[in-house]
Amino acid sequence: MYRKPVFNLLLRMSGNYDRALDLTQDVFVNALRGWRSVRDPSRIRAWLFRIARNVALRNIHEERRLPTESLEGRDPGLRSNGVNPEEQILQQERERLVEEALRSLPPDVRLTVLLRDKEGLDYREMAQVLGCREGTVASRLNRARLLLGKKIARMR
Amino acid sequence: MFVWCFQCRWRLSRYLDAGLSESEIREVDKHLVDCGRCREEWDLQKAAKQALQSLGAADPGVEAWNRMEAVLSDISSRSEEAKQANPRSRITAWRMAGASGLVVAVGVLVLVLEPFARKGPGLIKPAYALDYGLFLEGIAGRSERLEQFARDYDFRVVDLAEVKRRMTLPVKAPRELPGGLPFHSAHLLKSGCCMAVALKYGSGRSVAYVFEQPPGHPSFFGDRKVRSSPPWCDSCKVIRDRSYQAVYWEQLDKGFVIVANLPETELAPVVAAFRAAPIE
Repeated sequence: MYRKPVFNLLLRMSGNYDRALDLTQDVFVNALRGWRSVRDPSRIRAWLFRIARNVALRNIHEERRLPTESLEGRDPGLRSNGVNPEEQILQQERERLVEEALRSLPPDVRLTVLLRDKEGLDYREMAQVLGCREGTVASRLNRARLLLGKKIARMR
Repeated sequence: MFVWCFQCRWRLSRYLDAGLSESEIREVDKHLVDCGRCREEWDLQKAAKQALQSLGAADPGVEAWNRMEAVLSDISSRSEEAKQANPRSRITAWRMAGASGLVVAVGVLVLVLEPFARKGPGLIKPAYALDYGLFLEGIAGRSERLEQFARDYDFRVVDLAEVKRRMTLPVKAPRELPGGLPFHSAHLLKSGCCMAVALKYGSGRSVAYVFEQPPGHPSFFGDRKVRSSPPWCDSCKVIRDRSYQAVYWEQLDKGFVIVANLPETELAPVVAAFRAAPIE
């Protein structure tokens, strides 16, 4: 149920398809081990994304320390189904721009906008994932969206 | 009600996510009509949100999920087996954690109380004078290790009365270390309860010998052991004020004299005597 959103979040955080698969597996292995600690079933999504956040940030930290490159160089495969080939190409180009703008954001800013605007977490869940208060989530989201908006506008 | 720009901007994300009350929405609406800069910011935020929502989602496919599920079920079954094989493992783990905590607590307690346990007479109180030619004078509180050091390097260890009586003693320092290594200067180094003599040789290199420490000192090591720097102990900061009453340091023409660990009353005449008749 949550594996696809978790995978997509990790894909956009890591920018590497195979790495994202490994990280997704790490998230669910960690979740399996800590399953007993979940007391409120309504918080499972936030709990899982919290694990995913930790895994993603640790991965970024490790990547900075020991940079690695994927041997396969596979296309991330983020595709929407366009109506016709021309529309599909335009859509792909738009997506490429947004993905590029996203990648240029600092990891915590990227995580903030992805959690809200891509994965649809509400402010309460985001506060649990990011470990801050809801008011802080709102102001972080303000900054993150503004930054992303400016980057996208500049690229266009 | 009037809304400032910063109030409007602070509300923009909630405004975009429909998280404001009706009155707040009206206020923001009105402000956005009046304020071009806030409207520009609002447009950027809206564009960012729409751009993200328009992104497609990747799916690694059934095969990848199946592989992952196989790994997860394997881990799950292994942990179940481990639990069945050793149902008390959790209890044992708690006991282990408790025992470790106890050990750490005792360790911390010992470390905290340890400096207080060795105040006063537990310390050997060294007091030395060292001149340019590596001439060492034991003023008080001689110890075996100090005497050994003096024997090894041909120093003379004398008591305070002798020092006071004969302020100028012949320099008989060997100019080389055992093994024939020549050195060109020596320093008495002190930090709290630790004292050392550093023999400098070559350019920029030096060796240091710790020759006086309190009994049971944590940084203690045997005679003749050479290190690149003296191993000052962590407790020196705590003991310093108790173990050394006064330190005198004077740069002489041909080196310096250090007299450590004398009461102020005793130090003053020694210093005066050194000044009156410096070691040549």
